[in-house]
Amino acid sequence: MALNLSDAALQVALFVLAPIAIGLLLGIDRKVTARMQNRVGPPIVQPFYDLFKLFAKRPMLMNNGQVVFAVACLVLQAAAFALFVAGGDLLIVFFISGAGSVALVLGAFSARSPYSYYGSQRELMQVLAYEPVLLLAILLIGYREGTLMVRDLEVNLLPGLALALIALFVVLVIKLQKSPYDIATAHQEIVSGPYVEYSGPYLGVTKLSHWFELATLLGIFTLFFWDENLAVSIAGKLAIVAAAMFVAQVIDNSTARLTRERMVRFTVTFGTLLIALNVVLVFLSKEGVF
Amino acid sequence: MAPLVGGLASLGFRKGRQIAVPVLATTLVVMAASVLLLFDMNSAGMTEFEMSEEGLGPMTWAIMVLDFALMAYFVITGLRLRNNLVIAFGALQIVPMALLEASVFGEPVEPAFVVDYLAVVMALVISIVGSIICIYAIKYMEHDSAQPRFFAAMLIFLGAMNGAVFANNLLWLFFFWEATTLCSYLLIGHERTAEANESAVRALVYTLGGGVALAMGIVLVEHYYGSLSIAEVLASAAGGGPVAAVAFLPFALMALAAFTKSAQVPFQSWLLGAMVAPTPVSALLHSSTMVKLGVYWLLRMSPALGAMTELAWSIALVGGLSFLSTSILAIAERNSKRVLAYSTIGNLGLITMCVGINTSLAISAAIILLLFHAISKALLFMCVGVVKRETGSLDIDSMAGLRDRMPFVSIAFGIGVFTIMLPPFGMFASKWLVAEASISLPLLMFLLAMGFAATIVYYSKWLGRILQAGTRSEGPSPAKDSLSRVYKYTLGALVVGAIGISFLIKWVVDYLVNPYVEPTFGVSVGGSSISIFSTLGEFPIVVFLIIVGLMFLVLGMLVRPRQEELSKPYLCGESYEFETGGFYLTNMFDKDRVTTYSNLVAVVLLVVMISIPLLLEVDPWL
Repeated sequence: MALNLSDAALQVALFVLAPIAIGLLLGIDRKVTARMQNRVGPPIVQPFYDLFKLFAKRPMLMNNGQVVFAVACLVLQAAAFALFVAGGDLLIVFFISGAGSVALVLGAFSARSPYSYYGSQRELMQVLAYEPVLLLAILLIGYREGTLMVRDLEVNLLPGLALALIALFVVLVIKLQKSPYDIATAHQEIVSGPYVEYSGPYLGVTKLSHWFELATLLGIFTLFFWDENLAVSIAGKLAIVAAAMFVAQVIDNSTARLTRERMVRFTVTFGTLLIALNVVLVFLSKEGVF
Repeated sequence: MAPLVGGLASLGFRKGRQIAVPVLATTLVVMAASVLLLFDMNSAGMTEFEMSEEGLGPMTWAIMVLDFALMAYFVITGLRLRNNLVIAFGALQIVPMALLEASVFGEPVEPAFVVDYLAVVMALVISIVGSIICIYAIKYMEHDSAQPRFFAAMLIFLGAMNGAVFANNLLWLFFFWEATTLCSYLLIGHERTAEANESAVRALVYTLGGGVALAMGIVLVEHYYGSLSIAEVLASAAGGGPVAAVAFLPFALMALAAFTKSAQVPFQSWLLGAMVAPTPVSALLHSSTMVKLGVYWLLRMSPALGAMTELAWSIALVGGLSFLSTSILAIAERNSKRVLAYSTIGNLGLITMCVGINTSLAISAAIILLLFHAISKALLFMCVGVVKRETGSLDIDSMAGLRDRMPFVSIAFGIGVFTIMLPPFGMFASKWLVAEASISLPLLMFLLAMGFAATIVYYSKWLGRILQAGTRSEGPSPAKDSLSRVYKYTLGALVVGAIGISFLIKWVVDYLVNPYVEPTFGVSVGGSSISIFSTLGEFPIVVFLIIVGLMFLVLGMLVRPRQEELSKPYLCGESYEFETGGFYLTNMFDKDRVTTYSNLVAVVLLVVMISIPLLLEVDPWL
């Protein structure tokens, strides 16, 4: 497989630009949220100001375990996204990104601190809630298309897999740390959960890895739309992301935090049912019923 | 191959104060023999290696006599324990076996032993991982009063396992199968406490019951296929042998026997009870012997299952169910050995499920999983064993901050957990293949997805407990740990094995997995120098291994916070000592209810599995 040079350049560009786009997206997110609450809100580039400031600060930590796992989290999330951009196996992307989440949890566990401890236990609950749905959605793509390689998925998935996309939406709410499922970070309750013992540049590292994690997830969202025409294709992909983010903001601003039990129960049953329904539809269409 | 069986038994029995010498010698011989076997087959380019029964004349006799002695022993044990079930199961084995021996007596089964690559994988796992556990046990059991009995049982166990995977005669397989039952019974009850005795008897009842199913299956195989050669029967069942008729029933019964051996739901309780045994026994039962015999036997039967869709589906569902229910149950468990036991049942469930899916991809995944699971699980058990010896506790919560107290074991344990659940290690590669294989039977995807997530949860929170450390600039050095050298070397060997073989996965696939999978199923997994491929995707495993390896090595060495950089935990301004409880989520799912429901579903599945072929067979007679 000869790697086309311009392809490679494009992939590198995507890899660099996507986290920046995520930063902007989060900035817009804060702005829109503020407007929904009748506030002015911070400038759109505020996430970048925050990130740079964190990296300029003096490092403070409890012990080396925290840092090792925080960097591991960043490397794994970045690697997962890189593999995604390079058109690799979607299942591997999912598992590597999942390993990144585990690294974050282990880093938070490494510091003997009650808030950090409860935060990471809750983070694990979130994993228990969203991982099955995300994995099922990916397997469903493989079931329908017969491949899991991102580079081979050049087909419009939306008509056939709309229900799976709805199920994935719940995953996005959890991963964005938004109400009603901001269980792990739960501000005003357990401070910021797994992040509480991180500060300065190390907190920056965890923030950056979260951006990569979101980039991978939103990347999976973009896979659902594809068109022969490149411009239409890109517009459609952006529309999916924008729509998903907007709905997440509306939900965030109109709900209160739920308990972790309810989160797990709802996501697992709701997500599984939607995807099961979708599997049946795909099966029927494969059998030629419609 | 002779030293595998013969040498083991004779050396194992030698009694003496210096038990370490014969044990060490035997394990070395066994390891060398298994590796030589691999090289022999490889250099000769063989996919299969047969050994005729001629020249083994006395052995046929010996095995027959020993077999009946064994079954008689079980009946006597039953009488002694006044346990009616044991007596009944023992008798139910003797009667059909006696009838069968009477009818086929004098007809040799050719060849006596068949060694293909599935058997080689098993032999490597049994001989190498099993031997490492035996060496570890020398240290672990050093203050035990009944060492000769213990090590004799351990080594005979290894010999019986090797015999079972090489045997081509179903009667011989049955004998070795029963021999492992005996060894596990003796080892589980080794400590002779009331609890140990009870668990040993429970294990005996379950596995003897499986033995009855196996005996019935063998009798029916003889009835339907007119042969006792495994190779011949499988060829017939798959549609290419001398007998055209396909009968499900014997295979359904033999699958049932495999489920009891591998402790699949609803038979899981004997393996959980077996946790009272000394830790090396648990390690042996879980990684390289006993439970692996069940899934080995399923894998062995897998070529015949292609023609038996209902049976294959039932097997897949039982496996998937075992994986899902045990993964959930493990979250609610605080005893470390029981968590590992659930994890074993779950992983065996994955292998069982793969056999049921019965595609090339699934069978490849199953073999890779079997291999890597053995290494990682042995490592985890041995770590827990060391912790038990040093701290006297098996409770997960009491392991909080173990990183500071026992650095070597903690690192070994961490690597064990990483290799068992996280990319980019070999075990993970097989899970990836399992996930892809499940696509061909979408119902299984749902069992898998929840099970994978639950696995992550229970292993992460356990490892997290161990990692908890307070404010400090430098942790204790694992190199200066005052741990016994025996522990360090055996744990170290498995750590190197688990990581090293992940690097070598291409060769594992090319030389161990594909030669077995190819003739029946075709090839679906391949390796290049940096990746492994499947029909659905690609996993650049070596690239990731290097990234992850470098990352931990470099960071582990570089990150040494200076004194002025240290911070204290955030406590909202309070200054009290805090105590954090474990998260066992008992309010989310009731352990007993999960167990009851999954057993119930499994029983229904088993009834379906047995009754469909039964009805199919009975019908023509009407």
